[in-house]
Amino acid sequence: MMERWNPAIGDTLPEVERGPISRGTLALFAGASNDHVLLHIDSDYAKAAGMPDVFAQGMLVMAYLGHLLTSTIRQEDIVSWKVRFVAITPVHATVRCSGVVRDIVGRGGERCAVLDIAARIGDGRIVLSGEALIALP
Amino acid sequence: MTAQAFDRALIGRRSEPSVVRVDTAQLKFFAKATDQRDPVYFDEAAARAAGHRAIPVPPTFAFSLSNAAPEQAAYGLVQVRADVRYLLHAEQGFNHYATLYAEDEVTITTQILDLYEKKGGALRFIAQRTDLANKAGILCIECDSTFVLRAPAPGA
Repeated sequence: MMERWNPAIGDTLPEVERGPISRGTLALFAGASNDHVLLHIDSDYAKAAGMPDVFAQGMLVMAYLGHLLTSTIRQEDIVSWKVRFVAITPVHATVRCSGVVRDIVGRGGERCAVLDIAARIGDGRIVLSGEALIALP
Repeated sequence: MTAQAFDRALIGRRSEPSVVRVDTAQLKFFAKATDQRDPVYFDEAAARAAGHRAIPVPPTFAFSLSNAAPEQAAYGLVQVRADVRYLLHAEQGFNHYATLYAEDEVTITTQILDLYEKKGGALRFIAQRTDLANKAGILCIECDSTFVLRAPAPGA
């Protein structure tokens, strides 16, 4: 069984890289996630809606951020987490996920780590940015 | 075309519940589609060896469960009659209270939290919270979604 994570302020999670995100990835994720929004899987539809091409589902990239967390942290220790989708992740992008402990706080008698998390694409541009609250031993 | 202002009377409105089952095959498909490398999320034996009673629902799959009941995932969008061609996901959060597992029966409800506009109505935001409860009626996950409708390009 995975040991409970017990970091100090400033500690980082091992980075996770996923992709490049192909059109096939987008189609598989649409089916696997029950997300039938055509902007991600039909380039004709995306262009008619004013987009340059299909682009990644935000939830695909958030799933990669989930891998970042669960690679090191027991899932049941994730109290809450949230992200803002700050930029579109284009098709063919490679995504790098990172996280750093910003603070350690008390919450309802429990010690928790506050993590800043982010997903970046090729040139370092942030596409998802957010935070996670992790229960500590 | 100028988008219609939101009817703020919709804020607070709540959906009728939907019941979905967490399909094991769907969890395995989700793991494949997301390039999941941890077998706990696609192999029953690995999940049990890690102390789980079945394959756990991974973080973010709660959103896919609500998509399995489109009347929940799209609740706010349908209530405001959103044109999904101009839809983007703005923010997403999850509050975890208990883990859901493969083959669990999940009851899902959605409430509209807020409706607001920015940039003189060019960006219109829909915030909703989807609750996922297990068969015992215990709230397991809150799934907070904010969607944005961008204005169509001129001439579109």
